[in-house]
Amino acid sequence: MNVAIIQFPGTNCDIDTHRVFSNLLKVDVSFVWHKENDLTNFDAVVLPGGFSYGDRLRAGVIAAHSPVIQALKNFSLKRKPIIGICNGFQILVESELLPGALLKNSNQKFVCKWVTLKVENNNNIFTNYFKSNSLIRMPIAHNEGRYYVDNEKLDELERNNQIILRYVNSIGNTSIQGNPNGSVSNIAAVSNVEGNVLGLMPHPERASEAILSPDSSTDGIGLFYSMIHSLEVLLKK
Amino acid sequence: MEAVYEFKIDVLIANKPDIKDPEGETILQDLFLRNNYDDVTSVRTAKVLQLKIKARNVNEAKKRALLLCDELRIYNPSVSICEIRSSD
Repeated sequence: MNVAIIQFPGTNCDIDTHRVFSNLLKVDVSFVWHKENDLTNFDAVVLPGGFSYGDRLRAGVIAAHSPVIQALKNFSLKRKPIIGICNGFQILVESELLPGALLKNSNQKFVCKWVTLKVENNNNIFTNYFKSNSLIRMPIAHNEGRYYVDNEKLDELERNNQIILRYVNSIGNTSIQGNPNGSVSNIAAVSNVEGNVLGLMPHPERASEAILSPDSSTDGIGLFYSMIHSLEVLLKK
Repeated sequence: MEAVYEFKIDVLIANKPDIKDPEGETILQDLFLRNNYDDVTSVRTAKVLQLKIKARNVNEAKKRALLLCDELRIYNPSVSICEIRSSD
């Protein structure tokens, strides 16, 4: 199994993500520069967080025109796993691999804190490690994380079980207080219809080691466990 | 051969009216209304790209601007509108 971590100018969570795959999950992982146009040797792709191209014009939009994105679209057609974290999520949206848009946070501030999330769909290759409706903790750190789709698209996401994680308060309610950025319907993570592309604003790679967590939780690694386990099953077929 | 000129074209990118605009609301509430400019009833923020485009006439330049904005996804059509204006 070989995992690719895509690097754009301005990516800054690549090393953290690499550490999780190489040191904790013990899988082969490689950095791939955004000018590459071939991903055929890889089994999964991670678009890590950061500020690609300094968020010029709109977060993720310039990176979405990189050569590697066409390779990523071909990769997605083969139903291979792609996970975009924070700026990676923004790039997936701007590449139209995921629907919607990520707007400036409703409070006009860069928000950096740990949040509670509810696993809305655990029948997905990135969340099948968790029990349905589990409450998990991860940090967020972003300025443009207000996920938006119109009502028609929101109904479609609901019908297709594409809403994977929601921001909730400490007791698991999808309240305004539990929503750190004003995302529509408290959405923190969505997948494509096929379920092989996931975008999320929280940082699972920063919630994978107890020493890095305020409450020693390691919920973030659950997403990567799910992905690796699903891939192992797939590769054995 | 028809002459080619350089035209100044403004590309205005604004969020659709039903999209909440916290920056505009802050400018309205904490700048205009707080300072008693009560005749201001709404503020919406937008981004303007000022392009210079070579074309035979202004209409051709505007058409070209719209085409490249669509092709390069200069605006996200799920949340934004794009208006092309000539500033010449």
